[in-house]
Amino acid sequence: MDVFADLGQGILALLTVANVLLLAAGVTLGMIVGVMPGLGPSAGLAVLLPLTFGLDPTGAIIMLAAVYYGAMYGGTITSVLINTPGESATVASTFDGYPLARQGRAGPALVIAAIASFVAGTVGAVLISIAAPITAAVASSFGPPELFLVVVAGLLTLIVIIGRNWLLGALSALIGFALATVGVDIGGGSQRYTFGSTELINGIDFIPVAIGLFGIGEILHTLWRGGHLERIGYFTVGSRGRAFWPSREDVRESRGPILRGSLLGFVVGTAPGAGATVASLMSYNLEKSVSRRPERFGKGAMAGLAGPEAANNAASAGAMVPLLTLGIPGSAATAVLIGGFLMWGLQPGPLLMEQNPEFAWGLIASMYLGNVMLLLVNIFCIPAFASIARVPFRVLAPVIMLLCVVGTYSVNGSTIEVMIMLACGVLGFFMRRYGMSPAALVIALVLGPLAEETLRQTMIISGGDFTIFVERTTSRVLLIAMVALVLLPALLPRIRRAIATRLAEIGRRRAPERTLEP
Amino acid sequence: MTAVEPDAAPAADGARRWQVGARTVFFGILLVVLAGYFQLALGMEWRTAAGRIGPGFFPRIIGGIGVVITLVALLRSLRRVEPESEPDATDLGRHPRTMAVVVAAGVVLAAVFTVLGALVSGALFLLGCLWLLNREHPVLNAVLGIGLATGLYLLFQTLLNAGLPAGVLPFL
Repeated sequence: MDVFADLGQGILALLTVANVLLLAAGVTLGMIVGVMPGLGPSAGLAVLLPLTFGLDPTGAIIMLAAVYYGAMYGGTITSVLINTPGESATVASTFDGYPLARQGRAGPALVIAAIASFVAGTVGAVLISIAAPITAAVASSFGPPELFLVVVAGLLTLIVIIGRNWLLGALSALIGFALATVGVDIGGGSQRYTFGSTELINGIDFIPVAIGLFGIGEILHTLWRGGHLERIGYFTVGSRGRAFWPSREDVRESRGPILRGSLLGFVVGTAPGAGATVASLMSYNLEKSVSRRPERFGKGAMAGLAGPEAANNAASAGAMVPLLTLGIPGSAATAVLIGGFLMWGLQPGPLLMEQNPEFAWGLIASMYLGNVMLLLVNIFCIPAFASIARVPFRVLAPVIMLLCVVGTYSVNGSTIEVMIMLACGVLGFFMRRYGMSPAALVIALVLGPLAEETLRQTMIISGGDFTIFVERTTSRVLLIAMVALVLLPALLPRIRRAIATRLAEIGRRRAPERTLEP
Repeated sequence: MTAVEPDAAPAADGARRWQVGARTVFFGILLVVLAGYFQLALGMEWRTAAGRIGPGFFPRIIGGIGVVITLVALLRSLRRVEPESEPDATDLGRHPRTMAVVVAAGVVLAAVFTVLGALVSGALFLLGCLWLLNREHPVLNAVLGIGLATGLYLLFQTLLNAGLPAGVLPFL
């Protein structure tokens, strides 16, 4: 099968000493970022982006992808040990993870979480190997009108990301679009909003904006709400005693939730905008609904940790499908990844797998190997990562700020870009403070130029006639999909309620069976 | 620490106060910036002479919609329709001054980065911020300030060949 041949080539491309070391470094750095207070995957990716400049594109993206899924797991450690999720996707892990730590079972909880992450990541990698080429094959027939509609569909995912506060979300996206228009107009060559500055002719670089919004913005927000005064109360992880490992009962209890969470997470993750947070919360509700002992949830049920943890990691793999095949980032973290792709001249989208198969399959292959590394690093270094979680924010904050400044400067050696980064940091703080969405801004900044370029090409083809969008069958299908995407937020609560009711019925039916057990 | 302000009066008593707070100032500034953006966009071509999309096509749409939305957000902030998040049990107060000092330190760092060099300016920034945030441990701060600045310099300059400025230490 082609998939096996392509994957084999990807593995061969990956298996160089340098790439394996980069993968290991990425996983470890991701874990460190994940356990650091005040830094999520998107901030971590943005801050670490400059570290990959000296690398070849394949190595750089492999490392960044490893940082991404390493950070997704790292957040679990703080969820379990200090009841503070590293980012929103691990909120569900606190529900039962922290009660387990309070019972002195932090070790087994973290090991089960690591196993769940590994299984989900591997299931995700297998599914992405199947789904990505199929989606790419369909998408490769797209012309400029379809590509424009795909970009618009990507922007529509913002509606899902933004949620209820659509007004401020739309405003965030508009600021992103506005920033994207700075520089030379691709169509006519005239300058827009450069104010005579030579440094702005090439536009506002994505990296200072992302580092500022996510890195500096998060730090300022944490400082503002007194994060530097926090005294962290944490549970320690015992060394390699018997109590460190999960019991047979734990493993038996976690098997089903891990498998269900993996499949659910992947499917939810492929829907742009839904992401890991939705997947983990859905998995928690699912497990509680189908459990024979739902009363244990919230008090230290291993199933309540294993399911969401698997869903969260599978969703991260699922998010790679629209990212690789359509060029649509479904979250802030994947938007930063797309920024990385563009920086190395790789255009994520329908043609990526056709034009750069070695790169695309190398990235997919790295997910298999990365998951094995993640499992090993997790299990054998849990106490070390737990100790990083103890480093107080008041020490970390200045160090991360300096890293942001040095990293931004190292991109183009420009002090103006450092100033732009700091300004974006302040903007990011106010955006968080007043309910705006830095993620929407970054996604709009990434997709804005693509939207402008593809619309321009479409208008040249059609001679300025907009009916071209309804004349082509593929365009019509995409338009229908976009309408569905717009209606989705309105229908989602009803669908969720219907599923919850159905699952609760199943749970009730299974409860009497439990009473019959010895 | 700021006091928790009471919520806006319920709609039932019909007495909604208009209030200019930090949120209003923020949206006011945003409105001015977007209005300026829109104004400049109006000076760009909507369509070119050849009938193609002009350089002002997208900026006019973005600016126009942006101004309208910001205006709505500004009016809402005046009427306090969107309440700010309530402080939780672990609330440690609000620290705008500390945050402002750190931002100012960041701006100073950026301004002197090429003059003093990455290593010296980085070390001074760390020492200053750690003195502000972690006053109880001066020795640790000194070690971290100098050690981490040197570590970051070596990482970017030696390993990644980033071309950081040497500044007042020309032997680097």
